[in-house]
Amino acid sequence: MQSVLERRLRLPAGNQSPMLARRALRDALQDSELGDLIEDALLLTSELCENAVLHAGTGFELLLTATDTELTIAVTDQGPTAMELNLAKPRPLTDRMATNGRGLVLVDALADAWGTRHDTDGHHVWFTLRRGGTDTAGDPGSATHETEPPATTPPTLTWPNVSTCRWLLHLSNERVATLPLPSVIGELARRLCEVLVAEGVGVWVDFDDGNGEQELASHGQLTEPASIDLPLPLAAPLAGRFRVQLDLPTPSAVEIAELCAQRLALAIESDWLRGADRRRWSWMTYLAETSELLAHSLDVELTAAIVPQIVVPRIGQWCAVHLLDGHGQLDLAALTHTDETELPELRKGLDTAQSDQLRSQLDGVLRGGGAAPINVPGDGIAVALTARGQALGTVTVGRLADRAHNPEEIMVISDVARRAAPAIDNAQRNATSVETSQALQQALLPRALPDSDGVDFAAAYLPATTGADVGGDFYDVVPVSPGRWLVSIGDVCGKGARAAARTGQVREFVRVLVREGHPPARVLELLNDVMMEAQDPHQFCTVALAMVTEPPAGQPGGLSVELVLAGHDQPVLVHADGGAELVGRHGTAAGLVSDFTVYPTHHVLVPGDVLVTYTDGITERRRGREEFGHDRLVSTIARAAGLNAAGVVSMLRVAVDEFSNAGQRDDIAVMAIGAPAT
Amino acid sequence: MAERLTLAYRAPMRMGPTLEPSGGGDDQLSVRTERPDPGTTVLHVRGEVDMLTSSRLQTSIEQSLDAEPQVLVVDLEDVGFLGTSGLAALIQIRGAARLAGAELRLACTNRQVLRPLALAGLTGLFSIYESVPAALDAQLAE
Repeated sequence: MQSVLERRLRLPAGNQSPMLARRALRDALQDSELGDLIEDALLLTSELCENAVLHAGTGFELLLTATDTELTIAVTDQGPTAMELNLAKPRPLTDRMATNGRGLVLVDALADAWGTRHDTDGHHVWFTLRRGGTDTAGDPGSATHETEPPATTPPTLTWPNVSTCRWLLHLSNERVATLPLPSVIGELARRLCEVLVAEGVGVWVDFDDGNGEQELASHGQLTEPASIDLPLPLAAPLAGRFRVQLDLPTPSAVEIAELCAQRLALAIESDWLRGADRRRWSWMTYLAETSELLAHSLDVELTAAIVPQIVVPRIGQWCAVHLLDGHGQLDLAALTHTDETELPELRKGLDTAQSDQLRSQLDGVLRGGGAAPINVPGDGIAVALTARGQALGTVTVGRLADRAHNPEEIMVISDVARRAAPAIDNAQRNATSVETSQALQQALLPRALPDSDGVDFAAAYLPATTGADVGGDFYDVVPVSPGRWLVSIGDVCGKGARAAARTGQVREFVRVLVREGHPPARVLELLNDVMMEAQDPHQFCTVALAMVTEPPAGQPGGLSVELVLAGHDQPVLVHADGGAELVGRHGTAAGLVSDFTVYPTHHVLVPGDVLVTYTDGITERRRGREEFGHDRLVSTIARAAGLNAAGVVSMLRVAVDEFSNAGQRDDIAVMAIGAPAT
Repeated sequence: MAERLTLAYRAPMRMGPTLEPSGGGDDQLSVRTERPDPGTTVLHVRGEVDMLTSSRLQTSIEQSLDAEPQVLVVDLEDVGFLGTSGLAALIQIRGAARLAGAELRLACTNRQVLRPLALAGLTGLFSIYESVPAALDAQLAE
């Protein structure tokens, strides 16, 4: 008793269809008596389905009929030509295009019987596998097969019908996107071969990659010279040929071949452009990363050093940046080589002072403003760095290990330079602005402290080492009358040139008022009034004023000090015989509120005593989260007891330096007033 | 002491494996790369190799040659289907490996892979081993 299994499955012309067909077949046969035929059935079914999808380009129907001893699978598609033509001239298996047309060879080798039929329902290809059937692997053509003559081939060729033409030229996007180019070209060539009933076709393309013309696909037999030999209408730099071998090359056949050549050219070009697009995309990502790296740097040396790091080894074996100095000379600013041992030699070769040839080549690049090849110290490309219309310098990139730069890479190098130039320009301008502010600040400080027998002055000013701008610290000593001095120290809120300007105003204002005879407390009240009138909440300052008076002639040494603090830190008084303390009473900072109060205090400095005023850059000096602080300040100064003013200042400097090796974020001003020891 | 020796022996093994997404919108094929040592790359292929997936297999394997391995082992044990496109891909891979100076070894015992290779007369073109360790242990051919 034979049970009969029948399954019918309709599948679209999609890339997934062969897999769906295999799955259905596996499910159907898994538990049947035919389990040992599964592998061969899957292999043959998959080939027939792939053939239908790729070659016919239509949906198809799969019909499975199985008994206990044999199974038959038929695939029916609606393609315009019959599939058996694939079998006519199988390609050698090891060929590049071996996969095309191999499917039916397998069918012939494995199936116990197989055949094709063409009727109104479409094209049927079927095969039968039997349990214990003849395994005829490796012996193609031994199976029994029945083949009807193809129905669509007219004896003398005229133009084929519309659906055949469509089939000849149309491959779905899905297919084109999945298959490698040789498969696409091979399939198109094979279709032409069938429509023209040609002996053979072949496609050769030169991709301008240095490998010359290469066979992309060939099908059937070609003899020299081919009966039709056409150039492929490809855009430069691509070039190619299309050859067809025909018994009778009629004018229509030539026209159809020309049409096909255009289709082939389209496929080849679009594949090539896709590759170019992928390369461009990866360059774009690379350049975006370059911009990001450069944007984070405000330091000239660092910015220049980033460029070679980005370029090597991706687009060159070595890379150097030269920047113009103040005298228009190109100086080597940064350099990298893939092989570090080459660096010293390369550095020598890139010294413009030593090589006239290099200098003249780079000067040429600077004048030209673009990219140009150079040959010293080695072959490469040099590009000008230009920002805001000004030449800043050059980027030089040595050639790659195995070849010179291609046009695409030269464009990328130019692009890197275009991105680096503004970053270097910004860093240079930032450096200039820092220098300007610092110069302004220095100009506001007294050039020299008064030299007096009765008072011992010493001061130190340490500008901030990190950050773009300077702070608004100042100190000053004004002679008021013989034997009387006004010492001021302060910190104007804010940074940069604006704070420096305001600092100048505050200093001059204090000078004038003091010269007019106002006592320190009154000077600060007036300063507060003026700053309040400016109505700028961001402008205020802390000031400490000390009116220092020498004793009248003939009296014992020492100094009398009237101290007024407007929001400023308490000074430290260190006694000659040991011990130090914070002195003075806190008052309001100037420029914050109109209700302004300060509290003058009086102190006596005996010979050897030193009064140390300072700005908060010292106490707020950081080591991680820890601040230098007032306690450390007092104990540090206490250890300086017995030293003169200059000694105390330098000891304090050392202590602040040793406290932290982090960059100094704020300005530090120290002003010490000592009563000379007798 | 014994533990330290074990660790030292295992350390290079931990450099792999890395998982590479198969790239397509389906789960028909996946390739996992392992580098047990700098000169050796092992690719574990899982899934079905047909017209749709063969070019992806070829690309994955050819990309693995960028690392310039001396030995490239392709583990096909978990391949459930290998069609003629897959055979063509293997032939291409064989050529690419030869160009890159890598020795290609296949690790596979299953019929779904060996049968098509045999039918197409390709068995002799490849060095086929019964397992990945067996493929790794084989001496370099000169």
